Amino acid sequence: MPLTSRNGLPTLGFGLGLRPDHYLAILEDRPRVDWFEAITENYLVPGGKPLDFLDRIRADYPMVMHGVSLSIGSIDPLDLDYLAAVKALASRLEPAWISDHLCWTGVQGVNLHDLLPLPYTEEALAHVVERVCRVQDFLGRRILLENVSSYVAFHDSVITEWDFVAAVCRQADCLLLLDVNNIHVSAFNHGFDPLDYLAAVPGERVQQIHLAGHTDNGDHLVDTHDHPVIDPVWTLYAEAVRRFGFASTMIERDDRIPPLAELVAELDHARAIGAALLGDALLGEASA
Amino acid sequence: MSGLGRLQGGFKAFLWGGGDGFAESIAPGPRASVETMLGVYRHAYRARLLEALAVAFPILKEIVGDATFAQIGHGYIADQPSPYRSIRWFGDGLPRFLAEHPDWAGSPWLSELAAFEWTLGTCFDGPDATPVDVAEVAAVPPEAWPDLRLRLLPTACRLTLAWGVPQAWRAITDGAAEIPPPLRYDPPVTWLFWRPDLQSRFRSLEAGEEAALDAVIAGSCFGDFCELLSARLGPDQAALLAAGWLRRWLEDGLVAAVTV
Repeated sequence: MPLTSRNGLPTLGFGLGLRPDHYLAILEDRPRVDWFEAITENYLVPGGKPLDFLDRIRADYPMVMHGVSLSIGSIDPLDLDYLAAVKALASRLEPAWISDHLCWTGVQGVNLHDLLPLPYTEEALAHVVERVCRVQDFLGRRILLENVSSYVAFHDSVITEWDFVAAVCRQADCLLLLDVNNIHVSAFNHGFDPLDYLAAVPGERVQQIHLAGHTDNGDHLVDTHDHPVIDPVWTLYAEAVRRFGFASTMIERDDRIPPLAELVAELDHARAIGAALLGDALLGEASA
Repeated sequence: MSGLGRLQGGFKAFLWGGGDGFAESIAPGPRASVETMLGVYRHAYRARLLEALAVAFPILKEIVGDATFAQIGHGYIADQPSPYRSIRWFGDGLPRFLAEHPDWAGSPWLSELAAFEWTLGTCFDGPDATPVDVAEVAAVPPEAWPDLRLRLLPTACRLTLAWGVPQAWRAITDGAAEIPPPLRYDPPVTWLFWRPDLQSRFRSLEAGEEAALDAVIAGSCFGDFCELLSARLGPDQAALLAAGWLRRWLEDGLVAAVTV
């Protein structure tokens, strides 16, 4: 399996979401984490501690930027001021890549601060593809879009989610941030087979993989990022690696955040899966 | 309207507590009801915004308690849609909301505490600037002093408060278990906020200091500024007071640049 690069971008290895709870531990302990993913919006501020920590951690680790409010699927006009701020932060941080979500987060001038699902229609597909192309032109780079967890599906949808994701990636020539936990959550909530999803995903465009925990409410799952990754998600991750080769992998935790060492240990489980499938060379090369 | 626009408008209305009929656009899932699944979004919307307010106003939350804070927060969420990409800015209207809403206007210190915390927050991640060193100014020859002009740090700002909320804030921050409602000042006190390094600072202004800072911000040179004071205090007293404030501003790390 090619370990050095995908899509002309570096392979970063095994990372974690950068959270303020861990700033000091990262700087003091220099944990065995290959890279960090910074939430873009947390650093769209003029100065102070957030940017200071970001710069200091960036000096020691590769980073990527992960946005939560691009709102690529909204019918509202693209927010060029927001995109300019993202671009400026990217100039400062020099991330390996920039990602956001395949969803919409606001409409009619209001931000709803949630990753809301799209209807999978030809209209939505054309709308998203056109906007991804404009965003990529503006930023001067290809972006990654992440598949989101969802709790409802629309009568209007005429395409499966996985075919919609694949079509967006191919038609807009963008890359995919494959969230394996989100596939698991949505598969349970909507009653589809997660392997059907993996089978349709354009594997060569999977640039990054997210892993996370969720909340099991019995008759539905919620993507809360407040628990460790569960076994079925690890199994689905292994299947994704088997099918697509290694893509830079990270764990997200946003609530009930444990000490950093606990997440580093959880990340070791991902490393072990990668090493079992692709050989020990993966660990050395990805960390190099 | 396009199908996409109709769905997004309906979803927004539903999240805001309306959206009658929106559920009819949802295809039933295999297990949970449409109502349950839509409820995940409605609950998350309110919970996420309330959490953003709790992050921005931790001491207000501590003082009024979780239940009252949730009542305030949910009222604000219903009243003030977020125009911001970053949820960090969602709370900017809370001080005004508390001052104007009939449920809270009777306790004006709530609004003042919110304004105090918001101002500290804007200092926290406001623009960086390195304060000038006292020695740098000391090196300016005395004959050049009348032409000195100061530029304050970009985070420097002021807030006039009629209630002793900074003291309550300080007591809670220092770990006091119980804090009585703040006392009223008469007259109100103006507080100065600034961030000379990574730590935000605040202090009350002395009598006359606010007008002096106004003169500095307006671009007055030190000589003009002394003249302004001398009309009230006489030249010797004015020069002494002005030199004292200048030293204090420099020692506070409040001054970003000095030009002659």
